[in-house]
Amino acid sequence: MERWILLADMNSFFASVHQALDPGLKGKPVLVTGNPSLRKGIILASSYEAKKFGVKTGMPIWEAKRLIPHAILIQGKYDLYVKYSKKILTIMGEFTPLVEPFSIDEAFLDITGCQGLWDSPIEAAHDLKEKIKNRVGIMCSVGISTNKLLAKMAAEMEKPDGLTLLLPGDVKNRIWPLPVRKLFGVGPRIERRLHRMGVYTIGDLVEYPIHSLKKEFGINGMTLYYSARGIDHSPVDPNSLDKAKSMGHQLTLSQDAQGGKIRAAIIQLSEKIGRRVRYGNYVGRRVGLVLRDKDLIFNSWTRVLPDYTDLTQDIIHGAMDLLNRHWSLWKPVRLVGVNFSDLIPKEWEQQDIFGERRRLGRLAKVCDKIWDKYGENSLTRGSSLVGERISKYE
Amino acid sequence: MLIKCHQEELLKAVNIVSRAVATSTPIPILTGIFITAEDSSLTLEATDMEIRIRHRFSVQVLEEGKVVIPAKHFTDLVKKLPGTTIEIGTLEDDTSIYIKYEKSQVKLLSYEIDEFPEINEELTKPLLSMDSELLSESIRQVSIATSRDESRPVFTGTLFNLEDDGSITMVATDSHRLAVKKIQPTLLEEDISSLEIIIPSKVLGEVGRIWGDIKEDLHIGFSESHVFFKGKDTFIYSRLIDGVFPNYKDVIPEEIKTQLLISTDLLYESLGRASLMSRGEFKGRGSIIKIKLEGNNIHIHSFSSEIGEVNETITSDKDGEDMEIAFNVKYMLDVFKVLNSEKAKIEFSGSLSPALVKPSESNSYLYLVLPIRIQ
Repeated sequence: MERWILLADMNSFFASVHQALDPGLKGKPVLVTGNPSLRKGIILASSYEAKKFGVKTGMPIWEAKRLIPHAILIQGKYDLYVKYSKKILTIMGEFTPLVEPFSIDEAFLDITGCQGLWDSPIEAAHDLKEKIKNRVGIMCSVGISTNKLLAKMAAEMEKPDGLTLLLPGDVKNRIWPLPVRKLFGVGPRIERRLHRMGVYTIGDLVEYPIHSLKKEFGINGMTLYYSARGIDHSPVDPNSLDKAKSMGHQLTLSQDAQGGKIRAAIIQLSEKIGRRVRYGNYVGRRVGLVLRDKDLIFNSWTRVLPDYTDLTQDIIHGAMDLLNRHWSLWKPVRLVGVNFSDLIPKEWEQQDIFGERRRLGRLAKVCDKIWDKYGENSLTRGSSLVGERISKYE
Repeated sequence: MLIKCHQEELLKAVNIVSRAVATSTPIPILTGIFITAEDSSLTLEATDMEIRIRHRFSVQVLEEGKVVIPAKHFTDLVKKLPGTTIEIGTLEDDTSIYIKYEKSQVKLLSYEIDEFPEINEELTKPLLSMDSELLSESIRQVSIATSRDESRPVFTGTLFNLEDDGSITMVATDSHRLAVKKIQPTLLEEDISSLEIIIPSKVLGEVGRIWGDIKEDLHIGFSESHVFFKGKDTFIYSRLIDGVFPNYKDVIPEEIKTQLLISTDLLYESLGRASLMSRGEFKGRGSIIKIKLEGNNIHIHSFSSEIGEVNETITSDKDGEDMEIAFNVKYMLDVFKVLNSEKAKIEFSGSLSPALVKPSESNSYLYLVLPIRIQ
């Protein structure tokens, strides 16, 4: 069965959110910046009105100001963008349950099963744009095609406020003449290697036989081969963001630390991670330990825990096990990092016979509440007092 | 030393003892197999200082003697030898052996035999005897609940609780489920006081493997720190796990709200289909199934957003309330595989309370499993 996939890309998302909130900003060159009080502040995003003057993301603020002296500078508020992103995903969810957030301002929608609701996929795309514009006040570019790759490339073709239908039959005329960099999945590094191979357009890439691409790029070479032909079978996966999730912290020690100090750092870092994991209502299974030695060489190991967990004790246990197995405690360490991955939403909990985990879970909840109310230094594990606190009392 | 035996017999013996050979150790001799040719038998012995396995079999002894040879190379070689008569002898310099087969021969360097650690001879007196088949079967039924998590050593073993009435209760748990089996040994000593020992899973795994298809009376002896199992040809000796086993008796619910009597095979097959909805990240760790008891119907539901869903309905005799409960399907599959009874009795005492699985005809085995709370 032919699929119908939409990709909706919010135009100048961060700047648009501010314009939606404050109608006074509409039609004006808005620059979203990092902290403007810092001299090294950069442009995080800009409105279309500002883009016309040649402002680019990542440009220093002073340079952007020289281009547009009358620009309006606003400090970025990430929480706000997350809130707007969620609102938009909710609207998308009214179209189809198969919505895959691709980044904070882009998402794929598989509307294959919902065809009866609209006369055509183009109607559906119009409807989506209208709803987002009316309810959130943000314009977007929508690409329509029969797979994710072409939908994404279609959305890129017209900005802002675009609506582009790109069918597999259009690939030869509309995709092959484009520079190879425009192919989804080709970044600057792959582009350089392709240039060296004499590949400048996507059409050039089609000339390359599959085995040469596989030899040059491995499994990615096969993806390139199919992408250049507009072929992509990957599904729209509503859970894709959940899978890659991981949380980690690291701590640079003020002097080369050994033994107890490494352990203390692991405990503090695990505590922080445990709190975040519980706060996000996740459970995870893979613990990683990173140690940078005095020669600044990174060492890292991971292990899988017996069960999914959100308990700090389990994270500490896993990291300590890695430490004991791979590091001699007398070897000095400059930096300690702990990370926790394979995170999934905590939708269920295996009950335990002796109630030990339930007790630890309750203890963690109480500790979290105390930290929330009285701050990070209000409660500390005795075993972590040997080392240096991540944040000391001021 | 000079002996002659068949390759197949030798391979069988090597396979039995090689499980006790140390793999990573600072003591080289522990990576060897101690071989003794005496009377008309060959004895192979290996130990990693945790577990020791000794096995004896009949061979043609032309000259008695002892030697310790590197286990890995010897095992690899014996596996690859032709299925014919093998001759093994020590060379005159006493630092190597030769292995002759057909028209060929291999030379292997040997270790100093004096360095091979002796067994603690205090513990040789058997206290109990037990039918090897009954013990192997019981090990299979109980070991499914053992934990592999080394951070809690007590849970990686099986408790053998010698009760006042002379019976033994075997218990294992990973804190999500618990298996209990009661068996009746023959006491060889009159005044054995009640006792609790925790035997490492690895050791019981070896006992089950070695005596799984041999029927004989096994002699068992133990002290506070060690245990041994002794049959006609094979002897296993091991350290015990140090620690206190949690009080398992208190967690077995007494008040039962719902009881099912159901065909073991039917349920096992249904659960097998439901387990197919295991999400990628749970591979090998099972997945969630929801069970709904409604009249005499058991509805089993499993779902995966990536694969699909399974809805199974089977009938059973039911006594008590309707209810809903969720489990990790692996924990359920494990028990029905080893239950060894045509019908199973399943008892529930609430959606968040332990469920009990027992064979319908016997009270000797019990499996307790904790449900999953869906949030």
